[in-house]
Amino acid sequence: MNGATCYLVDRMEREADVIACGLRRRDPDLLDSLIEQYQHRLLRYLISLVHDRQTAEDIFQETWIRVLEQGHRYDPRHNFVTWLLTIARNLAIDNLRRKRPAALDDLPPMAEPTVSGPGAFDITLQHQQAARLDGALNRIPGEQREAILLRFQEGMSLEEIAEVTKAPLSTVKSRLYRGLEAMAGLVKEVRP
Amino acid sequence: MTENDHQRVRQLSMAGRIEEISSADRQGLDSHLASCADCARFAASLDEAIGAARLPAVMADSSLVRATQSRVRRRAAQLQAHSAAMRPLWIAVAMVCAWATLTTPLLWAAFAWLGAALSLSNAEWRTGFLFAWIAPTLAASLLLLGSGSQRARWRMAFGQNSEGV
Repeated sequence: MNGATCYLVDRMEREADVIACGLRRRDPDLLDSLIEQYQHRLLRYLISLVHDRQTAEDIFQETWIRVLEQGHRYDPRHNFVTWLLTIARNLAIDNLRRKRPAALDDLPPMAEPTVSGPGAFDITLQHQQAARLDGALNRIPGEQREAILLRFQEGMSLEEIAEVTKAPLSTVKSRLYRGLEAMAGLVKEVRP
Repeated sequence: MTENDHQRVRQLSMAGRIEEISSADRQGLDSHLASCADCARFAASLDEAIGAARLPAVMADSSLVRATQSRVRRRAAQLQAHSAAMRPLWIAVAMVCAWATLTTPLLWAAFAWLGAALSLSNAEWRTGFLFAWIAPTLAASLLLLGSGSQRARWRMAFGQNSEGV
């Protein structure tokens, strides 16, 4: 491990300790700043799970209430965002089960995501990308899609994905390989 | 090169994007991709698939963030109030436990002495001890139950009245 990596790891550990300490005290200021910091990432993940912005926003709020209530359970040896997304995922699955008893795999195809961006060019590009998502990302099984989103969109390590999805590491790897291979084939199909 | 070799390179292309591969594997992969158009196309389609997996930016509205923050603060205040209300109860429980631990042996010795002085059988003075030992708890439980059901009756009456209003 080089010096820069050591510094980053040390800093992350200290941050995790500060978060754990604040969560044990139920420090509202810390929670305010965590909500600010992780708002987009959490909402994006929830939308990718439940495919409906309104539901995702409800679960977003519920997730932070759960973080407040269960804060003493956060282990600073783990990445905070992994713990946060695990809570969000559990709530999303509960919500989906309440709505209709379906497995993650039976989820409907993802609605076109709400885009934001100042320029028309950016929006057009995003729409084109969203169209490709419809053609590729939505056509692979839900569990593979989730693994791919966590790996390539959230930039999580395989171990972190295993923690969030409560799946063995080998299963996560297999979902990623199969999902990526399937997506590559599908992307080739829709290539102009 | 055999089809198996190409298959291995494609597998390695995926591995290189999903997890860490050794530098020797990386070098071998790069040199193969430089000379094999089919495998290079496959690697490009993997990159395209990864690009497609990156959703357009999803932004949380500031109103959602503010609403969440205020909801979390309200809940934090509720939890704080609940924990403050429970504190005297926990102190009382701790004191009762400590008192019982300290006084039980003394009470036992006192009943044993009384039994000997009054020439009572073991069963008699032990029954007396047991009654004296649990009597305060029984009395407190009955009082609490009584006050609880009384409160419930008041709440019900109040609820009916407020519905009537």
